[in-house]
Order: sequence, then structure tokens, then C-alpha cells
Amino acid sequence: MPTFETNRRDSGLTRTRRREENPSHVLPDIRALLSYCRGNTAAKSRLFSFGAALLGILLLPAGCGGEPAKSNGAGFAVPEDLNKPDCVIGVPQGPAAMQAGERFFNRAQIKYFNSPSDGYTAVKHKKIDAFVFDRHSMEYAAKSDPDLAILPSGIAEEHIVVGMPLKHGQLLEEVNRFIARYRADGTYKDMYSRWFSENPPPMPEIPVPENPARRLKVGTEGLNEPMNFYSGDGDLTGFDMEFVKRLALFLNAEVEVTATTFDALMPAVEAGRIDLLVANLNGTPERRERMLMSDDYVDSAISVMVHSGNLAESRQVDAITDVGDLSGKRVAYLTGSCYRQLTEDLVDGVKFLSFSDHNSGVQALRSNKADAVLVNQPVGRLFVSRFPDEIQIACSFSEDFYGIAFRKGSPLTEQASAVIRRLKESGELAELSDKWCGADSAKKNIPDFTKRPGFTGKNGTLRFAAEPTMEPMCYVGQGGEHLGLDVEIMQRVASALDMKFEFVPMNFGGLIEALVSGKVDAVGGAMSITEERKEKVDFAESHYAGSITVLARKNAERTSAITAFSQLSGKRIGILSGTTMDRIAQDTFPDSEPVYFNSFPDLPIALESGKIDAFLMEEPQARLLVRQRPKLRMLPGKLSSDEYAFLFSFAESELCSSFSEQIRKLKADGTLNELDKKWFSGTPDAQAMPAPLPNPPNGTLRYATVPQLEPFTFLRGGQVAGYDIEVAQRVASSLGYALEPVIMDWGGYLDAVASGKVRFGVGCTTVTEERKQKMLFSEPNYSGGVVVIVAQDGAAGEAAGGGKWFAAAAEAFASSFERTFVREDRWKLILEGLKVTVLITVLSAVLGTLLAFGVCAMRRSKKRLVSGIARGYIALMQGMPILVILMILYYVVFAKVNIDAVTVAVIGFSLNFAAYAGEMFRSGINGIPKGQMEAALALGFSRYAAFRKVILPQVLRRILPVYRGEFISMLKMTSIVGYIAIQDLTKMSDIIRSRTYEAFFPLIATAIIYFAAAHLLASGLTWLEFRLDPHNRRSRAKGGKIR
Amino acid sequence: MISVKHLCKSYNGAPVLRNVSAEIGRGEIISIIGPSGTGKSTFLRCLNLLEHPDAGEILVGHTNLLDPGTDVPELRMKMGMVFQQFNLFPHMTVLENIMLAPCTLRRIPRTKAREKALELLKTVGLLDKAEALPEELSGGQQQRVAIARTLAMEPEIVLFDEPTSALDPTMVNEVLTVIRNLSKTGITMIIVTHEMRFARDVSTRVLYMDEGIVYEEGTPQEIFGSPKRPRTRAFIRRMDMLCFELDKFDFDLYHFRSEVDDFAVRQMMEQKKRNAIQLVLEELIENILFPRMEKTQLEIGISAESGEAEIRALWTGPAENPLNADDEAGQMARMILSKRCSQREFAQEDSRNILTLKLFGETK
Amino acid sequence: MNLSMKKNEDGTVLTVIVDGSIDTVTAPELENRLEGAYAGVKELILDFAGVDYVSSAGLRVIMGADQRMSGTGRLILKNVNEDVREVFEMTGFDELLNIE
Repeated sequence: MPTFETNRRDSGLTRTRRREENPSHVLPDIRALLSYCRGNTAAKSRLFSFGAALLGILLLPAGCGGEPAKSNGAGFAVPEDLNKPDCVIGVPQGPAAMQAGERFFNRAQIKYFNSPSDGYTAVKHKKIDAFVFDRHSMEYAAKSDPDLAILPSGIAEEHIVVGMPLKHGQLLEEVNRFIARYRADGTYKDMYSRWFSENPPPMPEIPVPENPARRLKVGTEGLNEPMNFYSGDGDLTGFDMEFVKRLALFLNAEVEVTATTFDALMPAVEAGRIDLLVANLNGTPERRERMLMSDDYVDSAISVMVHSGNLAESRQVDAITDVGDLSGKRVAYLTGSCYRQLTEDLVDGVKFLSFSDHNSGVQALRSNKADAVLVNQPVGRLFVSRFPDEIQIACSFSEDFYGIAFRKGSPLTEQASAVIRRLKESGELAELSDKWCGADSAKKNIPDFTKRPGFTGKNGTLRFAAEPTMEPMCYVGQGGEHLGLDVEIMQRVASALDMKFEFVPMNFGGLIEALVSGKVDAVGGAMSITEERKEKVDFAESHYAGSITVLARKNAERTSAITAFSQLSGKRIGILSGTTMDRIAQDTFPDSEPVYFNSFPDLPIALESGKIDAFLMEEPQARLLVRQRPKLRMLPGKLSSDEYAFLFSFAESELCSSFSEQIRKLKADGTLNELDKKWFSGTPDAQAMPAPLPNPPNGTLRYATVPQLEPFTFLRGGQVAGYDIEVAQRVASSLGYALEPVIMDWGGYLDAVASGKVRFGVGCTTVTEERKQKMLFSEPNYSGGVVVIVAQDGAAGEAAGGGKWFAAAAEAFASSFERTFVREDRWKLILEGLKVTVLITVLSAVLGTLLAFGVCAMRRSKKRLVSGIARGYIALMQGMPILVILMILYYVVFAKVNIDAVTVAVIGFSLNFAAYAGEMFRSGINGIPKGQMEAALALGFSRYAAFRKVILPQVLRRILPVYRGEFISMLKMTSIVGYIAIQDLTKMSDIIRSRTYEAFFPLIATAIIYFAAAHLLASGLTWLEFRLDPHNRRSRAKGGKIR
Repeated sequence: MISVKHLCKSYNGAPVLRNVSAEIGRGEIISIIGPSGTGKSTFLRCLNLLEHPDAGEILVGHTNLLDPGTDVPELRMKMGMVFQQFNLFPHMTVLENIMLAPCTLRRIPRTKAREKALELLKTVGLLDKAEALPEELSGGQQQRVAIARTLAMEPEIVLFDEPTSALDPTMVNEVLTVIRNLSKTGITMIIVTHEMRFARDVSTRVLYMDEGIVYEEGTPQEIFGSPKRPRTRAFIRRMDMLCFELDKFDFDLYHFRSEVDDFAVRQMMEQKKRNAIQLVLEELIENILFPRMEKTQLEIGISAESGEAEIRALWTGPAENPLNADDEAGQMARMILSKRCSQREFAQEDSRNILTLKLFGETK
Repeated sequence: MNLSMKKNEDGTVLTVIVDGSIDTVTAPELENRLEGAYAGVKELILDFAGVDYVSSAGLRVIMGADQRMSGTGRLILKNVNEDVREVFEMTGFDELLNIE
């Protein structure tokens, strides 16, 4: 008897494949391919993917570390250049600049000076390399002495504030209000420009209040020109003194000023012997603990003064002050103009670039593709007024006069000249010139001179021809009308001569001809008066003296720094969506471009990476943030005064009033003040939270919070903590409740409270009129405001310095790792998040697949109604983004139902998955040849049994690869469940980011974890695919031998 | 055993089965032949209700197949079907293919089913392929497995839907052998096939389907040897046929000749033969037929394959073989005919006279 | 079918050149044409070089011509092609006619 052989490949037989007739044969071919890949190159491909992951991990350090220190050529460009052992840095004894200097120049030698002026002298005589002090004071000194120069970047913040005893909370508010006003209405600017000019005028007359309501004692020093010093007459004068006078007027107070040494001033304030300390006071964190400090009333920083001879070469090379400086530079000019020729006549070695129109040329200048642009003067003025921060007129040459031409011997010439002379004498011409060459396009229109009284137009029509492409002398406006200086002048002339005006557009080249032949009466449009032309035509008196101007870039560093609110116009401002900052930004900076972010930690990251120019933030966190991240700076001045309170829906008015009552109690007995001190100074990280009630008699309240706002509400060791949270706990405990926090994103916070999903919300929630209309606020428990955060200019940075790049990177990597995973056992958070992600994915997959069978069956039904329902369902699920589906389920369908968010997520994902999987099944089934079902039926199977035994196994094998893809896809899609308050892996990484403010490390780590999870889960499906493959099955199902 | 009455079926409005009736007795081996597209497969597939007829009646045993209360799967277990495309289950081995239905439907224990399956495989000569997957087998092997699979359910009737049409000529025989062997076991078989010789050898009865009905049926000898009806004959002889209604008083010889010539050219007949046909026709028509009758039906059949030609003239009238006449006018014609034609026959059927002339074939 | 007739100088030899087929349709025409030409002809030559087909109708006409000539002279058939010759053979005419 032949033995039962298990060797399959029977060579020798010719196999005829009929692929068209039996399509199921195609699948085995693909299978064969897959198994080949799997078998032969599985090891290879696995190695490859892990190798790639390994590579990614190795590259992590690159993102964590700081930048390597800059090196310079000869001279100092930035303060870091002076931080060397052979440099001598002078610091003043006492003021904050001393500490700042010591800290920053930790490698250089420090010399101490009694007064700043001693320090300046030392720099001037090159006894020391640099001196550290307030920028504004030093600038004042440097203005009058050409040997002194200030480096543009500072080394530390400086807040020039008014000091007050701790008890003067009310006074503080008033002073801050004054400061906000004096900034907004230009007083500050005016005072600053006066006191910090070369020869400051004496103190202006400021009225004293007639009926003062109170008396205030002011302390100052008097040794700090120009802030507070003695004038020649022996009177105390200076910026600070003027400030005090104006403040007194504002407060309706009588002031008594005493001058004493700085060292004595401090304890005097603390003891309450003086009410206001106005003496160029630097608001350091240490001082803040001992006295109240107003907002900054002078913008400053601690800067570095050096001898001007030591400034880095590169600075001077850049400056173009003369035509001769153009040698060796890239200079752009208008094709076809005479500028190039004229320039070449004057200077050699210029690299010329030509442009077809002015805009491209200026653009090249702005983007550093050219060093200078040659334009005629009106155009130059126009562009400078458009980009005042970026370009300036470096120099001009070759004077040029523009005039209007008339036919030889025409009486119009003298008449026009008369009009022009009149305009010149009255100064109107200069005004017109400014108007047309300025940046404000709203002003650029021509009044209708025919409307002037007495105009009849009886003297005919004055036809004026010009080429309307010479902005701003003669061009076409947005509405198609003709605008320009020349056009307006001509219209005035026509009106004065009682003539109607007609504009005839014409090419420049044909103007003279047209005039001479009599077609028109006058021509112009940036037409230069030349001898040649004078031979053919007469010119009226020149109405514009121009020249060829050279436009150059302004010093780059100075222009990128934002130091005042006014500079925010047109810039990109980051705003947390869902907060009130949107409105504030619009009101205060209507020209700015708002950029919205969903979660707070993204803002500082975006600022540092240059994606936004500034962002808004609540003041208390701003202070904390700026302390933690020296690269960021808070602009002085608050944009708004805000109160923060607890948020309730209208349905919870009873709870709200109970809360308010408790809050008032806490205010009255000083608890809120204590809490304020506790959470707002020192490191909030270390503050302990009170223990909650163990057996709350009235049950547990669920509340919503967005724990990204240290120190109001943040996550610590997996728990919410913070000022607001502590207040909430105390209130709840006294009312007999325990609390259960529900963590959210800003986007869902308001809805959660309004829809009743939570009993109340807390966490830096601003009280606004809008919100008051929809929701209820308790008594406020904090007053703050919104401030603007910008990036520090220059390369402040970490003191990476020397050392090998790799060592620094490894160090940065290690610290990032520690902060992301180790500190506060944050890895546990990640594990929790991962569990949630996997749970949702797997449950949804299972449920969704079961549903999918039903969907598929309905879709394939012959009854139109049934298949129509299925089709509609599929279209719906496939058409809506999964995020929208989840939010509808959570906030609309299950709004009133107390259902776990994870359940909602599973429902949402299952519904979505069912639609896709159902279609997958259907296409799989359709792919099975009809003959399979027929063969099964012919054998006597019922349709159902045939499906189960014959069709389904084939379908499963067919669709498994696609199914696996959809499964992985769903795992990744679960990353959005943070929107319905679920803490999955992505949300946990968000939370960690909000504490560490890092972007790179947590994100990359999260990505790697997702990758690993996805492939691990999917490998289960791969195993299933392997099992289902009949090639693999039968090799194990060895039969018995037949004898 | 199976009784089919007045079966009708249309697809998209086009009728495929137009009133088909047949009786199939137990143990019969029925071959169904006919041109493509004439409903043979449709008819077969109606028998196990893979197609649903629009009208008519099918009785299997005493059960009305079309009755909504009939347990069709149960009935199907007694009727096996072998498909043109084999339709083996690709995700199962050969053995599993054969065992699936008995185990699942008849609840036969696996070991027994396995034994039976191996036996069947032996019968079809594929014992060594028991663990193979369908994709690893040739077409002929697959079909044999398909037959074994059908037999595993011990059906009383087996339907074969063009079992060898999808096979290379080299593999056709192995399958026909199996079917032939099967026919000796007494099982009832209905085979739709194009294999004429096979059908002739194996069948007890042959149905020729054409024009949506059972055009002609009979024993293999009758159908293959002496088919009565023209389409059957044309089919069997693999002839193409040209038919005319001739009227003595309205006859254009040249027009007729050119039509016949075109026809003959299409059948790839060479000039010489075409001339011969023309001569025979002219003589027949002008000198033999027209002298005797006004109207006659003429069928001219030419087989491109064999080169044979057949001319049939049919007319009503007194029974008289014009070839035996002795009128002088027809004498030459008769001589020519006798020399040119390999066969001449006269018959009378249902009061119609039929004269058959064959050319270029074997002489009888 | 085309016919052309040529007589020799003294009108005793008539050559008829036939082109085409001689069948039931064309045979009568041949007959008619010959009818008038017999007068004084001793030798009638039918040149069948261009004849590709002859049926019994044609044969009848040829027989008729042969009989007419048998008294006064003779009929000669020339250039008979294979197919036509076969027809003559089938009917036994080849024995009766002068075929060259």
C-alpha cells in the first residue's frame, strides 16, 4: 500500500492555472508572496524597524539639549562674549545689578564700584572691559559720551517698580491703575524721551491737588541721574520726581518726599514709615517678599556697557551711511532706470541686482537677498513708512527735481508756478508731500476741488497726461481712481484757474510728444527737470525735490525685540482657545494676528520656536513661568484686571450661594491671603494640600478643572493641586462635601459645567459679562489680570558653553528623561494612560466587529429599506470626523446621563469601526466567486451554513490585512479622547508637558509608545492570519498512515 | 424520477427556456447537447434550484421542487452537482473538501468520513493528493476531486454542468474516464456536455436542446446516427445550413447561385466543389423538381469541417421518387446526379416527400 | 455568356467562340444564335476555351447542333476544360462528340 505522503510539491505535473475562471487562485499567490516575505525576511524587517526606532531614540538628545555657544570674531557682540576668565566686569555695590552681574559673568573677574558713574569712567578709560547696570541709566550716560556703548542684549530682567508696605493693598491697585494710564496715554513715552535725551529740559509744571484727600510719604535717593537727582538749583528732580508729582495728582494726595540712602529706604518701606518708594527700584523676587511692588513703570533690563571701540566689527560693517559704503554690497535697482549708471559713476565694486518693480526690490532687501535698494526719494519715503522697523533711508545722492511740463510759451506755466509757490509758502506743499509719501493709505485721497465755492469751470479743461505707475507721484488707487502728489497738485492748479480737470493716462515715453503736439496741456508724473527736456518744453516751478535714496535694513537685533505693547501691532499673538483672552487681544491689539492653541503648554513652546511673537497669559502664572524659563519675558503692564471665581450652571444656584458665603468667610478671616502667599511665592511644587473629608455627610461633588495653570490648578503626582483647588477643598469640607475632580481641556470645560456633567468648575476662570449671561459665578477668590509674554532678545540661553556637544546632549537627555518619567513617578501616569488607550481600542474593536456583521448583513439585504438604512448608517459614520461623533455622544446624546466617559468613547469608536469593518466584510464577501456558494448549496448546505463554513473563512483571510490596518488606525484615533475628558496616553503626555514645558522629549516618547503598542496588538492579528492560512494548518494536521 | 413540465425562464426579458418538458427515469444517463446559449445549463441548474424558473413544474420523486414548503437543502443532498469551474473550496485541503459536507450535514463522524473520503479519492485515482490544496492541483485533478466530493454525500442523482469544458484537451479524458466509470454504478446522471463521442458512448438517452425547448430527443443512435429534425442534424453533422423556399414562377437562378456560392465560400469550400454543387443544384431544381412541382423547400448544408455537403428538397405531393422517373428531359440530370452525388435517398414522411443528396462524402 | 462568330473566306467553316457558362439561362441564347448560322457551314467549331460551366441545358443545345451538322458536316468542340469534360463524361456525351 502506498504510504501517505505529506510532501506537497509534486513536480512533474504541468499545472494549468485558470486564473480568470477561478479567482480564488489569486489569493494564494498573494499569500505565497506574504509568506515569502515573512519567512525569509521577517528577521530582516523586524531588525530594520527596531533599528529605526533605536535611531530615533539616539536622536532624542539632539532635541533636548541647548544650543552650543556662539563664537565671535574680534570684539564683543553679546554679553556672553565677556564671560571669560581674562575679562574684568564691573558691578555696582548693592543694587540688583550686582547680583545679576555676578551670576551671569560667573567665569569673569568681578570688580565692585561704589557708584555707577565710577563704573562708567572705568569703562571709558578701559580699566575694566564692561560695567553692568540698568540699561536706561547707562543709555543716558552713553548718549553724551561717544566712548561708551551699550550691548543690545541684556543679561537679566529688571522691573523698575514702586515699592509699598505689604499692608497697602488698596494703594497698590491705585498705583497700578495710574501706571497703566500713564503708559496708555503716552505720558510715559513723553517723559522718557525728555529725561533720557542729551539735555533734558527742566521739570514741567505739574499742578498740585487743591484739596488732597490724603497724605503720602515718598522715599527716594537722589543719586541716580536721570531718575532721581539734584538739579543745579539744589532741588530734587528727575524722572521719578515727575512721576511722583503726576501720581499725586492722580491720587489726589499731598506728598512729602524724603531722600535717603538706598540701604535705609528698604527697611523704611517694610516698616511702613514711608508709603511709596520711588527710586529706580528694581523689583527682584527676594524684595517682593518684603514689600508690595507695583507694575513696571519704566522698561528696562540689566545691561552691559562696553567701550565703543570694543564693539564687534560686524556691527560697523553693516552700517551704510554713504554711497561709498555700497562698495562690495549687493545693491538692487529698477531695471531701465538710470540709477545703476549714476551709482557706477560714483563708486566701484558694487554687485548690482535688477528688479522689475519696486516691491520686489524692497522685498529682497527685507529678506536679506540684497543689502541696499536704489529708489527715488518719494518711493523711498513710502517704503520706509510701510516698514518702519525694518528699513531706513541710509543716504541719498544726486539731487533730482520734479516738475510739471507745459508747452513752450504757454501761459499755464506761470499760472501753475504761482499756485505751487503759494502752496510752498503756506506749508501746504510739505503737508501734501508727507501725506502721499506716508504709510497711511486711508489719507491718500484727493478732495473734489470742483466743489469749491466759486468754481464754474468756464475756462475750459486742463488735460494732464502722465504714466499712472509712479507711486506715490501718480498711480491708480484701489477703486480705479487716479491718485498721487502730481495729480493732486494739478487738480489744485486746474481748480485755481477755474478749469475742469481731465487725466489722460499715457506711457512715459510719449508724454513730451503729446504735449508738444497739443494733444494735452500738461504732462508730469515723477518727471525730472532736465536740460534736455527744457529745450522742448517749459517747466513750472519744481514742486518736489527728490534724490536717489539708498534704502538699507535697520539693525536686525533692535527690530526683533518687542518691548512695548505698541510693537505688537501686526504680530502673531498666541491665545488659549476658549478663554477670555481672545476678546482682550482683539480689543487691545486689533491689528494683531491671533493664533489659537488648545492647551497651555503649547504657548511657550510656540513662542520659543518662533511660531508666534507673543502670547497672553494670566498674571500669576506669568510670574511663575518667567521665573522658570529665562528665555521668556513679561511685558510690563496688564491688559486687563480680572477676577477669578468658581463657575456654576444656573441650575446650581443654591450650591453657588453656599460657596460664595464660604469664600467671603475665607476672605474675611485672612485665609485667602495666607493661601495666596503660600501658593504664589516659593515653589508651588512643594506646597502641601489639605486632607479631604473622609466621610462626607453630604456626599461627593464632581467638579471640572483644567490642570494646566500653575499655581492655580495643576497636576502633581497624579493629583490636582493648587490655590484654587485648595480653596475648593476648604469650602467643600466646611459644607460637608468631598470632591471628585474631572480633568478637562479648555474646549470642553464650559460645556461640562453648563450641561450639568459636573456640579461646578474651578481653576483660573475669569469672570466676564458674556459668561455671566450663561452661567453663574461665585464670589471671586482671586484678582489677577492678563499680561503679554514675549521672548528675550539676544541669545540668553543656558550656560552650555565649552564642552563637547555630545556630553551636553547626553546631559540634556538625562535631565529630560528624569523630568518626563521619573519625577513624581510620572511614568505611572503614562502607564495609566496606556491602559486606557488599549482598553478603549480593544473593546471598540470587538464590539465594532460584532456590529459590523449586522451592518454587513443589512447592507446586503435584498429589501431596499433594510439596505437603505445600512447605507445611510455607513455614510453617516464615514462622513463625520470621529471627534465630532464623540463630542456629540458625550455632550448631546448622553449629556444628562451619568455615564463614564470611557463607555461613551467605546460606544463612539464601536459605531465608527462597525461602519468601516462592515464595508470591509461586504467587499470581502463580494470578492468570493459565486461558484463557491453554489457548490456549497449543491451539496445541501443551507445558505447560512454555507456562509459559515465556506464563505466566511475565505472572507476572513482576505480582509485580515485591511482589518489589521483599521485596527491600528483606531488605536491612533483614540488619541483624541482627551476632548471628552478621558486621560489616555496622549492626554497624559500633555499633562506632563504642561509641567515640564518641554516639547520634544515627551512627544517623541509618546510616539514611540504608540508605535510599540500598535504593533504589539497588531501582531496578535498577524498571528491569527498565520493560523488561518491553510498552508500552515495542514502541516500540523498530519494524518495517519494508510497501510 | 424527475419530471419537468413546461419550464420557462427569461433573463432580462429575453426568454431562455421556453416551455421545456422532460422525464428522467431512475438509472438513466441523460446527455443534454446543443448549441451554446440555448439554455442547457439553465435547465440543469433549475433542477436543483440554483436557478429559479419563472413558470413550470419540477417534480423530484414525489416532491414538488417549486413548492415554497419544500426543504430544498435536504433535497439537494440527494442531488449532487459537478460544475464547469470545479468550485473546490480553496481554504481546505482535498480531504477536507470531501469530508466537509458529510461531517457537517450528515453528522458522520470524522474518522468514518475520512475513510470514505480516502476510498473515493482512490476511485478517482487521487489518493496521493489527499493533503494537497486545490491550488496545487491541475484542472483535471480538481474536477476529479469535485466529483469525489459530490459522491461523498451518496446522491441519487448527479448533475454535470459541462464538466470538461474548462479543461485542456489533455485532461479531458481523465475526467471522462471517471464519469464513465460512474455511469456503470447505476446512479442517475444528467450531463450537459459538448463531448459528442462521450455522450454517444455513455448515455441511455440524449436530449438535444435548441430554440429554448427540447428540440429533439432519442437514443444516442437516433440522435447521433439519424437525427430527424434539421437543426439537430445540422448540429450533429456540424453543418451550417442554408434554407430556401423555391417557387417555380419566381426563381432567379443567378441570384440563387450567388447566394449558394457565398455560403459555400464561407464554409471554405474550394472552387471545384462549389462548381459541382452548382451543377447538381441546377440539374436538380430545373430538371427534376420544377417539372414536377411548383413549390419546394430546399436545404443546403455544408460542413466546413468535413467538406461534406448535403442537399435536401422537401415538397408535398404524391409520393414519387423523381430519381426513378424515366422522363427524357430529366435523364441527363439524373445521370449527372448519380455521378456527382455520393448518396441519393428518397423518403416520405408525414405526407412530405424528401429527397436527400449528399456530396463529397463516403459513398453508400 | 458571350458569343463571337467567325466565318472563313468561303463560309464553310464557322468558328464560334463562347465565353462564360452555358446553363438553363444562357443555353437558349446560344441556340438562337446558332440557329441562323448553319447555312452553308460544313464545319462548325465550338471553341470552349472560355467556358467554365456547362449544365444539361447546354448539353442539349450542343446535341442539337451536332445533329444538325451530322447531315452536312461535322461539329467539333475545342479547348474543353476539365470540369466541362467531366460533365460530358458523366453523361456519356464524350463518346458522341468530337472533342479536340
